[in-house]
Amino acid sequence: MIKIRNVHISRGGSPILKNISLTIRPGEVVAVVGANGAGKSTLLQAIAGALLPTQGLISLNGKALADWPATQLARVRGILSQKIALSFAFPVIEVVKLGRHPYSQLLSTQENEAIAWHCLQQVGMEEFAYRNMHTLSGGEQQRVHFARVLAQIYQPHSEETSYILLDEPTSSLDLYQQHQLLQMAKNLSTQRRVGIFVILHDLNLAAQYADHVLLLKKGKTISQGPPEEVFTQAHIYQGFNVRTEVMKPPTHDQVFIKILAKPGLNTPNNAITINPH
Amino acid sequence: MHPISRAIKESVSGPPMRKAPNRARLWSNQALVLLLCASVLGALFIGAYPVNASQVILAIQEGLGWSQDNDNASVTFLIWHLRLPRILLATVVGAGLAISGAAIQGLFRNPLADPALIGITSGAMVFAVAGIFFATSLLQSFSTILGYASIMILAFLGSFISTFLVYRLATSEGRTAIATLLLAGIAITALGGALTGLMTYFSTEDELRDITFWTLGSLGGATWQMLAVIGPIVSIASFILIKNAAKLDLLLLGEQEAQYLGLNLQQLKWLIIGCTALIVGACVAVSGVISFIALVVPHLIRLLKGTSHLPLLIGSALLGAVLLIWADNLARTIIAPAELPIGILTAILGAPFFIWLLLKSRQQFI
Repeated sequence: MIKIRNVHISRGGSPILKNISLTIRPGEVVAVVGANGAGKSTLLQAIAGALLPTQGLISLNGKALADWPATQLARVRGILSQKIALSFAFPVIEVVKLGRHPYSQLLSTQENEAIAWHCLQQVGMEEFAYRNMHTLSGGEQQRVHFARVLAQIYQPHSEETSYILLDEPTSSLDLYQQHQLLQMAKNLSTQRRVGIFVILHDLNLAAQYADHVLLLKKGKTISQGPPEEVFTQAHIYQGFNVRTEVMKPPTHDQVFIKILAKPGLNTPNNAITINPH
Repeated sequence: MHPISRAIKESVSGPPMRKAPNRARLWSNQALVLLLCASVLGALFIGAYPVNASQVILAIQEGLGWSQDNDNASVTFLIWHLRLPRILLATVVGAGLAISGAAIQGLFRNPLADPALIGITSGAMVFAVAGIFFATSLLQSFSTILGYASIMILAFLGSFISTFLVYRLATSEGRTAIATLLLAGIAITALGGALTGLMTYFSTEDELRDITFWTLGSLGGATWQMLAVIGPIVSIASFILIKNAAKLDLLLLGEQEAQYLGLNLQQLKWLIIGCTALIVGACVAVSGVISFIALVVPHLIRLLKGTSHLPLLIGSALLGAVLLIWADNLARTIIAPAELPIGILTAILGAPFFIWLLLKSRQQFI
């Protein structure tokens, strides 16, 4: 379990996150939503251990994040970042094998290689194995990196819970791929009890896949809980300044969010005006 | 059975593991080692004075103290004290420059990082020249091991300081901007050029000759003592670089991603910068400024063997040695009996290559 307790983070003197508490349980998908600049990526970096909270505590599997040795931490949590540009041409399978680096002292090269191949197969990219990453489309590259993250947290002979943090994983994917990737993440959480933390822009995707949603605005928690509790018209207006209609059809067990109007078009307060000066 | 153990078992025996295309294996390290051995032997026969195979064999036997033949004395001197040390020096310097080029390109995540282009060599040169200029007392003992070592320490200091400066100038928030990197290199090279020029202007005739030797680059001063100092330094530093090859692979993903995978970035940076500075400093101390080997060779190896740093570093060292041996053969025969400074030759051959590389990667500059 990842526990985030009353975390404050400041960067360059200005506060980015204020008093955030969140729990990521094994087998649970936690989605974070919020407008740009809400502090979503900062929160992800803090959970990843790349940023130290100015105040508050983050613990992973009962141990404070700062106390985890880097290699051991790398074995229990993987991060799928938004944009990864390889500096040189590199074959797909070699990229996935990089995910096995934390195990280079622990397992044989052959075992690590086998796991890398298995993970590449899991995302359905094994026929691309010897293709150069630079020749793949954005969506394909994303899947390869997802395979790399899978390989990173594949810990044989260990019952320890592992976590995957995804930073807007759907932004470069088409409709089919978006659902494919989130479904893979969901399956990992339900079948292998992996804890998933995902930053999403699409509220409907969050409503469909998340067990727990955190809505942030300017570093503060507006609301958190199950999707149907968080996604109310009031909360969404508070968080995004967008009027919506939230529906729950009796045939579905999830809420649907319909955007009613663009801000600035029918709300005179937010209308874009040209400064006469 | 644990699902992961099953996965391992399945994928070891089952279909997902596929064979790599054959191209990757074509240029094996064994082929390069053979090429290097052939180059070292072949180069013994190249030069203004023609020799035959039996003379070379005899000379090597005499050099090793296995036999004594006074008739062959002049050839023995030529082979054992002039050509062989020079060829071996070309081997060590070529290997050292190429492997440090490959490592520094991995660290900066950029194929245009060449110790000479980004000012590292220049830093080493300024300190070496300053050593000559300010400490003539040092020069009197220069032909001894101690003399070489002190010039080397100075050159190492110079290259370390300039590497560090360039790195700090060009890197912000974990990203190395290529334009800034090259500009920082230009700035440091300009400063180095000015300081060297200043010392040249005020130097005596003897000092001037030594300084010119450094700025143009030459393997002409090769001796066994020199090899005894530079050999171990370059070997040990190269060994450390090769040991860290897998970590350089991680940096392909970027500094942040590499750290997410458990890499101790600061430690790796200091290790790479330290080893590179050590190698470049040692090479500059014995042979002056030889540019473009560090740029051209890793690029060729990447084309032949791919970017994985273990084969890249080893292959670069081997090919760098081969290339510098042949460049030096050319340098000492092209205007025989006179000799072209090898730094001039590598620059003439390497600069067009650099321009081509710039044209090829022009889009990435924006």
